[in-house]
Amino acid sequence: MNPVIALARSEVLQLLRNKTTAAMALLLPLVLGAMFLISSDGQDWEIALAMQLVSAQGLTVYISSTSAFAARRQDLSLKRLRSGELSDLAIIAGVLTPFVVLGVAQCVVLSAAVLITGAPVPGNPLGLVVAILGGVAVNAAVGLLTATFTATAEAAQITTAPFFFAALGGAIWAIAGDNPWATALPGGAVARLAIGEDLVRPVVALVVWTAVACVLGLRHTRWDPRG
Amino acid sequence: MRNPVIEVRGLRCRYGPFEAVRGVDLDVAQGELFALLGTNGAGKTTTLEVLEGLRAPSAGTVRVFGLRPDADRARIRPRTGVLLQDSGAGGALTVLETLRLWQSLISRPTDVDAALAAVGLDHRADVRASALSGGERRRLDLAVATLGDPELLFLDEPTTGLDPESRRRTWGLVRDLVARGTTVLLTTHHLEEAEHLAHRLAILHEGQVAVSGTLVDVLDREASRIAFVVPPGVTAVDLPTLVGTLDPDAFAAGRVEIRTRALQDDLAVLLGWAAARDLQLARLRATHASLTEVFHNVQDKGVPA
Repeated sequence: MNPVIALARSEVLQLLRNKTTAAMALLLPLVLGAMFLISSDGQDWEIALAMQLVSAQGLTVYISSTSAFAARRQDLSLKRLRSGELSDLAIIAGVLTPFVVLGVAQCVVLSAAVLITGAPVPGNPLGLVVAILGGVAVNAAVGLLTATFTATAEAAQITTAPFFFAALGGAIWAIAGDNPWATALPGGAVARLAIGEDLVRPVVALVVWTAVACVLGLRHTRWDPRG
Repeated sequence: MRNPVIEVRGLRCRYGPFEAVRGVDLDVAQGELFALLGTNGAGKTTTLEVLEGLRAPSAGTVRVFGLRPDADRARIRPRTGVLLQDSGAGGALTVLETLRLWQSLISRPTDVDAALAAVGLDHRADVRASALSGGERRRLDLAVATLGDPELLFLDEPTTGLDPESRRRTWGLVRDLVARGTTVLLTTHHLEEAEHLAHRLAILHEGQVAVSGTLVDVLDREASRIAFVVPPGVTAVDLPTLVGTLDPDAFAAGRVEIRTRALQDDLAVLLGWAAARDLQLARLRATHASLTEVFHNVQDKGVPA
């Protein structure tokens, strides 16, 4: 078995065996998605879809990956893995992969649910695809960065709050109107892509956010809880 | 040194203003078991982590298989096994799942069942790592470290938390590995572990090597001891002239204690002196210095200038 897949598989096993983390990553985004869908009341499909994507990506990819990194560092798993043959990038990929895959799957399920319950097919399907993939990528990258200053899995509940709520706020702001500042926020960019209003500016915003978060996250990744 | 696997010269390592390692030199030859001893904070784990490539040195030269551990990880790691001081075994995974995971992460995997049997965990294969006792978790760590049949094994306090039987089993496993040609660098608090296992050892004190060499070399640095109960009617001035020195406090308490670097000569003089006076030297003991004494002397006196 490929080492990264083996590590990702072990992460999935550990995720499923921790009821709290499993509920946070698996159920909460779907419950929230259902609530957005019900509250849209057969109208405002774009708002429901955008909020579903942003909240699922935030909960499943961003918060869960930050918590997982902090927990693995705290229980010394990261240090132990680093003493083995895997490269740093492979270890990071192994830890992130389950949340990335799960995030994409949830976004696909939630998008399908919106379409099945009567929403029109998006005018620009590519925007929706990019909103899913780009949003998951930026949340994974920012999760890696946030983990660098998150000491424990418990602390992740606090350290992830600003970005998560900024993403939700950005999405609401971007849905309300074409504001360039809103589009520059990750949540706003995902929302603009989801509702098919724009493609270039949100993609640029997501690429910049992802690149900056990756560079900073990789540069400052801590493997050892000491110090 | 013939076939050095590890070469360290002038190693220094800082944590901010604190210098944990202050100029360590050491060599470990192929097939050798080298023990690093020292109290907590002596710099053992930091030295080991530099050799494992987990930490970059602040200064000095470090080579493992002739390569830099911090820069050549990809070439060194497939040849090494590492047992960290603290366990990083995945708590939610079972013992078997943990070993199978590690089997997937190494380039020369060996048999998982054999690794489990070697550390006596075969009957605990389906138990989660989080449910293991501290000693069992340590044995799981050891199974993981030895899984790839490494050429060089780093063991950071491998028997901490183990019961005597588990410790004996671990010593046997390490001896078998060394007999098969594995080079081992271990740190330990248990001096008897070094006495039983190590070909050579070093005692670290405040980040520096205070003493190093074979066990005989290290013990020869300390004076041997002759002791017996003061015979009735004998005063200190009655004793013969010896190379060694008499402990006056012990004599006042009723025991003759002599520290000497000429054990055989002084013992012969004492026995001749007692025979000439028809004295019984009750509870006579003549012993070389122990590693414990050497260790405590290093802690008391520090590193020789």
